[in-house]
Amino acid sequence: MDAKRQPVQADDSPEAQFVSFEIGADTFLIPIERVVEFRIWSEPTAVPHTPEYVRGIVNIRGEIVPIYDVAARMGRTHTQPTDRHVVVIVRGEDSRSIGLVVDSVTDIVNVRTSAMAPMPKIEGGKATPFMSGVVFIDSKILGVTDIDRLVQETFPEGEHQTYLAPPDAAGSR
Amino acid sequence: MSEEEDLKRIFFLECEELIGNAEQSVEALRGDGVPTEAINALFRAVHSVKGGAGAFGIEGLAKFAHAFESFMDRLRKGRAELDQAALDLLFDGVDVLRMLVEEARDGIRAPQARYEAALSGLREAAGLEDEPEGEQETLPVAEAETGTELKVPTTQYRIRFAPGPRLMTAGVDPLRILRAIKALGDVSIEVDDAKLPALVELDPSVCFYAWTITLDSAAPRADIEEISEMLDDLAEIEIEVTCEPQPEPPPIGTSLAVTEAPKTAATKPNPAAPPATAPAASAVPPPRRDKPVPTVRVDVPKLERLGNMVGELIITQAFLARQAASLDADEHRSLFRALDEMSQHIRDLADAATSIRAQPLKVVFSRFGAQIRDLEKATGKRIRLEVRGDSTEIDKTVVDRLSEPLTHMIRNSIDHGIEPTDVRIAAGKDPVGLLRLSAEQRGAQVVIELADDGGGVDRERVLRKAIEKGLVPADAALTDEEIDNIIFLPGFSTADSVTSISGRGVGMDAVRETITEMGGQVGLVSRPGQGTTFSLYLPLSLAILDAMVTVVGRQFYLIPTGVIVESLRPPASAIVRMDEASPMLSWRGQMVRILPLAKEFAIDGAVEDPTLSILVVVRPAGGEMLAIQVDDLIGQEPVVVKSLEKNFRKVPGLSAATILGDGRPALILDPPTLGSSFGRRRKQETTPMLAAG
Repeated sequence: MDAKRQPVQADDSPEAQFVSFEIGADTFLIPIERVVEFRIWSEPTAVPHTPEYVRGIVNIRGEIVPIYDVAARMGRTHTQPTDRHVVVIVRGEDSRSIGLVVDSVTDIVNVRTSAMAPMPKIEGGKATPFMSGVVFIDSKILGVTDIDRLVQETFPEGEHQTYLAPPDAAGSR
Repeated sequence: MSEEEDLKRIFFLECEELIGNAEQSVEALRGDGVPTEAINALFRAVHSVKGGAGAFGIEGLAKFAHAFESFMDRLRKGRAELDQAALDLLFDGVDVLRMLVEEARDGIRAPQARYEAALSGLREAAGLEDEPEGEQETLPVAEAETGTELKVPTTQYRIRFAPGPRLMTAGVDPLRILRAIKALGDVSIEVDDAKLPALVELDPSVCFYAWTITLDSAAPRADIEEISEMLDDLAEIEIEVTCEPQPEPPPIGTSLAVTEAPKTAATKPNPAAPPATAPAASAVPPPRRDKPVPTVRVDVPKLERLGNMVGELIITQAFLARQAASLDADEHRSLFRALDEMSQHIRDLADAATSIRAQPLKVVFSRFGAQIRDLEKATGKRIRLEVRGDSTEIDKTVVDRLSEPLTHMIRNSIDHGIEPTDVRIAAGKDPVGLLRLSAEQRGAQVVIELADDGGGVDRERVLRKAIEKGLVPADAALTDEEIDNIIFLPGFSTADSVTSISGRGVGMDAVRETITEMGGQVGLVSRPGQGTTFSLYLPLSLAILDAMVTVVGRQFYLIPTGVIVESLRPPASAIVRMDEASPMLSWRGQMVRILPLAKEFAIDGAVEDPTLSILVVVRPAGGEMLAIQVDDLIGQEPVVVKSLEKNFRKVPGLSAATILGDGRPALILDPPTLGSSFGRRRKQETTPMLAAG
């Protein structure tokens, strides 16, 4: 790690705001402009033929929005949500919205751009594809969630390809 | 966007409609309709295009429309004969007219040779060869024509056009408006300069003149109103009917007093005007046989907002109904009555909102005449197109997207369905192939059928090609229906070489995809030697669906009522188990596969025994008949269709989601893919190649 990147007192680089949330013992960040709203966990409507990290769909002001278990998506153990869990509704650059189940939302933090760095390469780390960078706060390193990646890569390659094919003659008789 | 561009945009929109009408009229002339009406309709359409083109200074279009109109005028008056050559000219003329409009709108240059050929043909036929170029009105109303039954009665209008202070700064040239009015008929114009200030006070950006126009025109009042609507509040336009058309035949012993046209200093009586037979009033539009219903142009986003609000109302209403369900019905009788009434009103409102978005299918259907003529030339086959039910209305979005799949289907039918003339003769068939394009509303669906009387699907060839391309395993034992459906497989084409007609990548699979995306279904029935019928089943509205609410486990699943044949609690004797895994339902003498939704969707806590559950028998078009096993039925209700793909993705077996009265989403099943994904997975074990398609 590059120690020189730690924030300096007299730093006057622009500030960005992040929402921090916790999964297990780890804290992650989401750029605040991507956050649409927070909701208390309630059981969503289950959708068949979807990977396990898709918990279902909910109604957000008349739109159908899928809910993802971030922990499961990152290859951790599945969350067993209770009414203490929080769903963060976020919006991707393509203005598609998804909901993320997290253990708790902890804070809103201001970070100077000088304290941000791109994601370092970690071999075999399952969380890294969903991190767009890191932020240094008080000698801690926090990952910034790559919302666009989460929104777009709904299903990994090949996982449900058999269902993608349009209906064909095979099913009719 | 500037005001003028806005007006132009409206004009181009109108052109599309007008040319659609024109195509229909020409098509009608080819058939055995009353030629008079079709000629008049075609004349009006071409005339309106010309008027607009003149007003916007689109010279090529105006010039062409003028020649076209002149020829039409001759036809109207019986000075030219409506023979095959004339029909060809008209067909060609409408084609070129469309190209010219597209040229002006999109900048795609129309083929010059074609344009010139059509123009000179029309000019010659219209007797315009020696006429100097330039605007020359040859409106029938200007001529004291008598005796011809084609004569259109004219109305005298007095129009006062007073530009407001913002007219010129908004980019509107008053002269254009005057020209547009002039294009409608015979005019005499008086200028009113009373407001003109002294030179020192004159603001050059304001138009101080006002005009009073006396117009003799066969055009309906709506045509003039349209011009004034384009101006919005930029100018004042008052329209007054000063002289009604002469009724046909003239009423005998009419008791109406003959009244002079209202005397106004600004009105110059037109000597050519027919004598007044009825008192004129600005509130009374001229009576016409095909009096147009007044219309308003609305931006599509506004319609979408209306649709969304109706959707929200349906959800709120469902919520209220659910809340009220726990109340005592006797105690709250008036509340329940009000709820019932509201529910009825909301249904009516939803119907009204749907009908606002609806457009008649003739908008698309009328386009195929020209295409078929081109295909006749290219293939040497002779085709007759029969269109039925083109006044059937369907959501505008569907109308807009239908043109491409239908175009492809027609190509396909002519290329692969209808046999060459000699083959038809040898088979004792009419040498002219018949294509029947029809539309019909059935419940909440619109069914469009394209039937040909050709040779039917060449199953042997289709199967051979499919095996060659590796779409089907060589030893597959397929039913006739399965073979017919191979043509919908991606990558399938029987064309041995790529022709310009079909076989160029876009296949019937693209047709099926487009239709499925709109929530519709495609099916086909083929009879060897007799022909093939393709059926498209499309939802009347993309926003609201009538569905049966069912329960499986702890969740609701909705089945579109359109595909449901019957719902039943089966007796044990009706359940047939060939093997433990896949029970069948013996139903009306046939075996229907039971699809337990709980198993298909991996739902916990559902009823397993089919005899304790409900079987919903569905028959989706182009899909397998299924008995969907659910725990219970809740009831049938209209629901709002919410896209799963907007924020998520397409899910096999589901068409969309909805929001129920409790505010929670529920899933809407898609029976055709529901059956095939189930079938495919079972077949995968035995015929993996088929599944890979």
